[in-house]
Amino acid sequence: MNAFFEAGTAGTLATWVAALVTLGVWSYLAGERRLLHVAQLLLAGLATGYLALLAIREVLVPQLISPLLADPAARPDLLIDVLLVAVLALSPWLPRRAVALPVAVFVGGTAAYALGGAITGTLLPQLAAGIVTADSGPGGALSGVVGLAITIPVLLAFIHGVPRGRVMGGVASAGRFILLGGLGAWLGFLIVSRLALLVDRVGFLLGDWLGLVR
Amino acid sequence: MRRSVNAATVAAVGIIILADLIVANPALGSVAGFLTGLVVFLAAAAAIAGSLSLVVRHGSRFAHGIDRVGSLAVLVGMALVLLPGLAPGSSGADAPAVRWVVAALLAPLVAAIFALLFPLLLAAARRGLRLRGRETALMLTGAAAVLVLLLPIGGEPGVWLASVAGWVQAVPVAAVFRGLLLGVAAIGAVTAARILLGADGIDD
Amino acid sequence: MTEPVRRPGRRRAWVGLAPLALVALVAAASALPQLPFLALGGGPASVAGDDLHVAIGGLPDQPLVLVDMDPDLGTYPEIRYATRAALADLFAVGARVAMVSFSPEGRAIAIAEIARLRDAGAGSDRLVDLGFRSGSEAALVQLAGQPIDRDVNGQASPILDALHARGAGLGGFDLALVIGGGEMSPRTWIEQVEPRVPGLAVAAVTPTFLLPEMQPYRDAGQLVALAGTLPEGVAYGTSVAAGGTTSGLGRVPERPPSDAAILVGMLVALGVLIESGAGSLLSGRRGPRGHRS
Repeated sequence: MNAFFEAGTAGTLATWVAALVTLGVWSYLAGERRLLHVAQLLLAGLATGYLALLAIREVLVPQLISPLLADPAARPDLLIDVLLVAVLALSPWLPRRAVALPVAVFVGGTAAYALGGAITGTLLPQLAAGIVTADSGPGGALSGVVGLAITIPVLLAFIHGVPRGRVMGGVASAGRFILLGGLGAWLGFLIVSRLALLVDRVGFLLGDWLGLVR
Repeated sequence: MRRSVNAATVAAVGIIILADLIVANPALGSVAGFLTGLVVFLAAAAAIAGSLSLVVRHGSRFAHGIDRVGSLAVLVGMALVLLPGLAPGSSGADAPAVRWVVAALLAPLVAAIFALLFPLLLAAARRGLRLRGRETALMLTGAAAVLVLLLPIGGEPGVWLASVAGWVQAVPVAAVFRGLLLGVAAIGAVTAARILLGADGIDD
Repeated sequence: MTEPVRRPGRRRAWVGLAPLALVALVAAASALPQLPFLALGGGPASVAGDDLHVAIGGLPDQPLVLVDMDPDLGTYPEIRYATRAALADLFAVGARVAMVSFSPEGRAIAIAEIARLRDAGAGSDRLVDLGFRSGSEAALVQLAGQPIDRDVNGQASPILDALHARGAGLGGFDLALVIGGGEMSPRTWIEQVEPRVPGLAVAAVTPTFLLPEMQPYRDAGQLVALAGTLPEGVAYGTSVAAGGTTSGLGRVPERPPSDAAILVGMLVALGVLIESGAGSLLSGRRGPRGHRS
């Protein structure tokens, strides 16, 4: 049903293990916390191991180590890369000053992507989208005005530290209540979303495992 | 001195990458491309550092008798994926044994934990009313309204409900979220700028 | 000095059993057959989720489509039906699909879905695996700036040759379909790729918790299409399944979630919200810890 399970003995065994794991986690609802504790730690190990496997087999080996071993002279930039990668990978055991350079590169790059993306990808286009244009049509114009009347108070309520007089304070206060209503609507969507996850797991137990539901 | 070297590195890397976004220049693009590739490799290295750190920490806890079952669970989890994935001749994450572990353990564990969120979310919503009655009541009214609009009714009433739900999503809800998004993006941009300029003291 | 209100022991036992009873109720409803008066998302006639169907239907002949498979393992069940419907929809219009992931959970799901599609008949001329790329934003920026000419095994592919013939990397695709999650959401695509590859159309299938991020982008046209809630996804999937083939890649190999179970769960949720609100109003509780005034 969900493509993870293959046909045959391996698939049947995987289904049974998955079902038992699910019931073990759900024993929390009956007050049994130890199984959930062990399950969470097992999950931490699996997830961390899987990430490391992908990092080694699908990133570092094919893109860094293999090209370097094949022809080191052709890609001198990779020598710098492999040195910094090795330093960062062994960072828990190296002195902080040795690890500082790769960390600085990582932080600088990440901050730059965040800053550039926030301005060019979100702030400017979203500000432009909030403007009601002359060719919007009556329906579009009304929606646009309603949207602006909601967006501005919410933005004011969200940004702290903005100097406020009585009018601005009143608008921000209204924005806070509008924000709560909007978050409530999102909570409604989220409840349905989480319900779907429960229904799917129940469907797996009743259908894929016990075969009671098709 | 060390702090200024690190801050200068952060700033230099950031400025080169930002400049490449704005200016079309082959030399600049080449340097920015090298830095981007380096960040990709460093992300992979960070994953390996995290894994090694976890092995050492839980190996130590197991050896010292601290939560032996829990630490063993972590180590067994890592071994179940890494051993078949890194074995000679293995195809890595696509290896049958790794795919089996994902199907039997990783995916169902996560799914089962997330499935618990529905009853827990309802319980939290119920408890919230006891703490801040008026504000939570406003939120829960919004939630109840959306639940009514999303009821899985078919036929003409269902189509009408779906249309109303679509309008609610597209106009008032979108407007609220746009305000949030603008605020989050603005704060994110300011924080990133402070990091690049060294104002946040991100150094060694 | 007011005394904290104590629940009698019998009531505490009932409250403790409530989550188990809820699961049992949902299980019982799941066993019911499809009821004719129920349809999540309003059914095939609904306009919910229409924009994704229109966006895929409007693609040119044999389009080149990049699918970023990055849902979370925990929330993928919510969007699995819509995701598989979108893949079936793409293959039904003759799309040639390249699949990439930027998160480990997304990669796990991508491997499973690629295996399923290969079993359904997707050869190297219809589907290519671009593997996993670490670094999220950096990997996206790298993908946007470099030619894409090798698959996960370092091999060439007819699809990548066709992309190369267009003389472009990421910009050569007709559509990027982002199956999003918490670690890699379409917002990252829009922020990192759109400024660098402005002509690339981006559509998305996302779970509901990402709706606050996604709705403004859809509203602004930065996303050409979005199936961002469960009802939208189910309505979209139902309409694709109704118009699609019964076999092969164009078939939707999935049933939507049980409408009866969803209805029961929603009614329970409504009941809890109403009971809590009514109880709070009637008892006159204000302030923390529920002390009676």
